[in-house]
Amino acid sequence: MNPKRLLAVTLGILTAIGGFVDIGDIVATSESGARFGLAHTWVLLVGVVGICVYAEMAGRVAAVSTRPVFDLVRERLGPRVALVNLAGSYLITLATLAAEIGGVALALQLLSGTHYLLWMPAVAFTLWLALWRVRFETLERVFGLGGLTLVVLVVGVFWLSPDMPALREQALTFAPPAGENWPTYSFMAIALFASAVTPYEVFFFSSGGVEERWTRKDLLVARVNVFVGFPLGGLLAFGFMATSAIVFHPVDVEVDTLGQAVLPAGLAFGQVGLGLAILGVFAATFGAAMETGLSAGYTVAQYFGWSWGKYLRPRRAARFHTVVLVSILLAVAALLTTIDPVQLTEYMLVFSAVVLPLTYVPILIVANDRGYLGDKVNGRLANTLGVIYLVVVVAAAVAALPLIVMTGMGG
Amino acid sequence: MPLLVAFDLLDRQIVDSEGIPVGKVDDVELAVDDAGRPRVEALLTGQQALGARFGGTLGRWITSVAARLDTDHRGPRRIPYRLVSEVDSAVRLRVRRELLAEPPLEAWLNEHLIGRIPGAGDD
Amino acid sequence: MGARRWATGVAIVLALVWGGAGYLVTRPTTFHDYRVTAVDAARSAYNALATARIAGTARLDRRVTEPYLESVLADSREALAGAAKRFAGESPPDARTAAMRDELGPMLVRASAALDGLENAGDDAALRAALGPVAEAADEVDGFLEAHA
Repeated sequence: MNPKRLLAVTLGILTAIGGFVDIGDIVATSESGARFGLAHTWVLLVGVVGICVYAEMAGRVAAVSTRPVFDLVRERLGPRVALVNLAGSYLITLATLAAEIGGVALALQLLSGTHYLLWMPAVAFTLWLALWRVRFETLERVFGLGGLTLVVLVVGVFWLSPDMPALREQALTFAPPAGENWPTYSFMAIALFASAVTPYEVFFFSSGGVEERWTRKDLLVARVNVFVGFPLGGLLAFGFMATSAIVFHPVDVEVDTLGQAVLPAGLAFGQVGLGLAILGVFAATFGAAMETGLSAGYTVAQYFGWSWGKYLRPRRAARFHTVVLVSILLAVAALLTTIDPVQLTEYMLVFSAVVLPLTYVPILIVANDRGYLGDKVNGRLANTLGVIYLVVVVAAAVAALPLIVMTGMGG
Repeated sequence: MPLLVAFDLLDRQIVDSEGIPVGKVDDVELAVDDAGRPRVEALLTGQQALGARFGGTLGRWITSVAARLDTDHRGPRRIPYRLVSEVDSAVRLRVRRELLAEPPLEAWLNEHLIGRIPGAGDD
Repeated sequence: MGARRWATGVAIVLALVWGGAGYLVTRPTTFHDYRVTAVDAARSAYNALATARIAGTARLDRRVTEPYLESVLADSREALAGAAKRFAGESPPDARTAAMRDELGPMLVRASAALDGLENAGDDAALRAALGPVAEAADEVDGFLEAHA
């Protein structure tokens, strides 16, 4: 096997960036840091492990059976249940796509001062153009690696000379700090967990593996992608949480805008740091926009059995490209209602917690099916972790709706 | 080879000889041989076939929309079973998809939308 | 027959929900409701002011750019305006809540003026001068929160 392929972790990095530091996550983790200090660190860790477990399964399915995971949902659940799954996933992915396009525009507003709605059409058009013509690998590399610039926030944690013992104590306390209550704490925990394991990450990752023409020989590559990419994504998310915990928590300020989320980078490193952080946000949200845009197309096409993928000429996958185009247009329409992109993803995060079981149960079933995977089915470790996380996912799904009502969406 | 139709065939992905998706097995066409045993004659794929299988109002709506796009009135796409080379994680065909009838929706979109955008044909 | 019973059932549920919602919306505000609204508005105002203060100070130190500061101030203005609107939308039901309104209302007005000063600051001297009222307004609202939250 070509050793250079091991360096091809950009798919994992891009997926993780789109999953962990998209616009909703950036603000949610910053908000968590501001309100709860580091008390939700364990949620990020749990989320990282969970997505690693399931993305590894999805990647393995893609490599060994050369089929993406959503393709197999209809086979395992039947067309009616799979249609419900599709409808739920598509709506959530579409709303997230709208939020990401808004997020890219917000990043541009922070750089230029021009209102984000004025940037929005250009962003949507550039997104469509990238998905129409630019090669999948190029997109992976540019936006995956561009998003890594967000590491400036992780470095900033140390540069801001925080009270380390206090931070450590916050991180090791699995309870709300003074001034906050359990329902809000739990609501936030569910939102953060759901943001780590959003379905479109898994669908995108496994479809991406097929786009990259993975085979059995690439099993190691798939695993490296998972175990390098997702922890890295989690680390970047932690950067936002920690810097907000250092800057905003001590003065009791709550965070709900992108501008606030990147402010610590400016405080630590000045204009250069701020610029890097905003560029990182731009790359990450654009990457997330690509991920959700493609995911929308992948899931619809894979349900109906249509040809799909950027590896085909658009003429050969016209239905897939139409879905992507229509999704982008619908997203633009949603944004033109001047709905706040940040609030939109935060709503979506919690609702997606409710549909998570529908996504993850089929993956666990498929990963145990010898018909697809031969001798590469789940071992005991994968199954144990898989079942544990399924229980966590179901618990989150059950608790989400009552908590929404109890806390009034985390207010 | 004996197959459990509902388990092994229905809703399975059909791919061509190069692995490109062709469609799902939305329905199957059965025929009865001389000994009275049913066997699979053809695979039916496409939204018209899927809608018929769904039943109810949703199914009828899917079928009618699909039928309207089918300007040549060919009905659901039919793939004779002899074109199948093997059935493992997918139903693999012996031929490339270019040799099969183009799906009506794909043809319609290529003509009216995708085909008209620059860059659709080249790679 | 089954369908008709279903439809009747759904209609009854909808009527109950509609009636219930109508009741919830139009019933008179209690002390608790008003306090929650006031505290919520005060919190939004505090966030807006404190963020504006941190960002403004950072601009003086040249740690952030002018377009960035403009963007943050625009967000703060929007948050404050939203808070003021929510607060004004409720009428205080009794004497205690009337006192709350008399306390917080003017604070929100001063906060808005302070933010205006910050947004209109043309140079560093004006910026430095404008930060003072913003800090004072933030401390005021913080005091309100300490007392009532």
